[in-house]
Amino acid sequence: MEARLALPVSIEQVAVVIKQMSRSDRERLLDLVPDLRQMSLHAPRAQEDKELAMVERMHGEVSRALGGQLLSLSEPFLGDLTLGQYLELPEEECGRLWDAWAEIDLEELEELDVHLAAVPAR
Amino acid sequence: MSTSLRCLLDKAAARRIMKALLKLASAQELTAEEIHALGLYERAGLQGMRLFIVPPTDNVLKRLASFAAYAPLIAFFRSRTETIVPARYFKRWARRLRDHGFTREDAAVLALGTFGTSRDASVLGAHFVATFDQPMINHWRMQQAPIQKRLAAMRLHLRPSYRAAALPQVRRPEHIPEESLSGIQRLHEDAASYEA
Repeated sequence: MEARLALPVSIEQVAVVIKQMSRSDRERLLDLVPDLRQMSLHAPRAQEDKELAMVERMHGEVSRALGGQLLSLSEPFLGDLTLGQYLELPEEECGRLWDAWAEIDLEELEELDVHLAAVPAR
Repeated sequence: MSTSLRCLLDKAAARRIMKALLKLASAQELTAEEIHALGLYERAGLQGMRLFIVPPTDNVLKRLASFAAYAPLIAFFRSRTETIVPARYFKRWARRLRDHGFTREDAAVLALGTFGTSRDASVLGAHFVATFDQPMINHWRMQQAPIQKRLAAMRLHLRPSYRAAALPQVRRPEHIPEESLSGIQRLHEDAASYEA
């Protein structure tokens, strides 16, 4: 019977060690912990289900925000486009348009002094 | 509220969230990146993480909100986001980041992650910068040690309220972890091993 051992390091540190392993060592690890192989097979499906549920929830929230009315693809959008035309643009083109529509240079903005007790991101 | 995790969305991450909302509102299919960005947006709302957008994004949203049809959707997006404001030393830090090979725009966003604040000036910096720009993420990781060293040296000469300024974690939206604040504190202390 295997003794139950407390993990002496963090999971992140275990991950670092695994990343440094050779392929044969990783395969040996999978043989020793067969659950890992099983979990990895099910992971993509579980992730898809999770994302689908999230999109459904957000769809409900958007629908409520719009009072149940869908937006028409022929609705006028910025830059003399329709919503449908905008949504079909490649990301790079959307990026270029947003830069043009933003009309602002971050480095020209005035700097604000934070409070003495401002909470740092630590 | 001020002890909540804070995440700064770069322009592309915020744009994809907005595009995802527009697609949901017009019954269109979302791309994988839009789903990932939307996932972060929902997660932030559920976990009380404060999401920030950059001022250029705010400008575009204001223009779009002038169209009556989009106003409710913009209000919905804005109900969970705030606009970050450059704090003192932002420009100086952005210039220094450019010395490390970042473009002017990338340096500005990354500098806001350290020297950005809320409109009420009650916070300093963000825990995360969310971006889809993988080369920027990689370069940020490669440059961590010299950038940390440079910030540490700069901090010694700053006003007291800025001496705890920290570097943000720069990640894709789907990699912004669902961790507690204590988890993030540990992550900062041991950033090198986590990023390896």
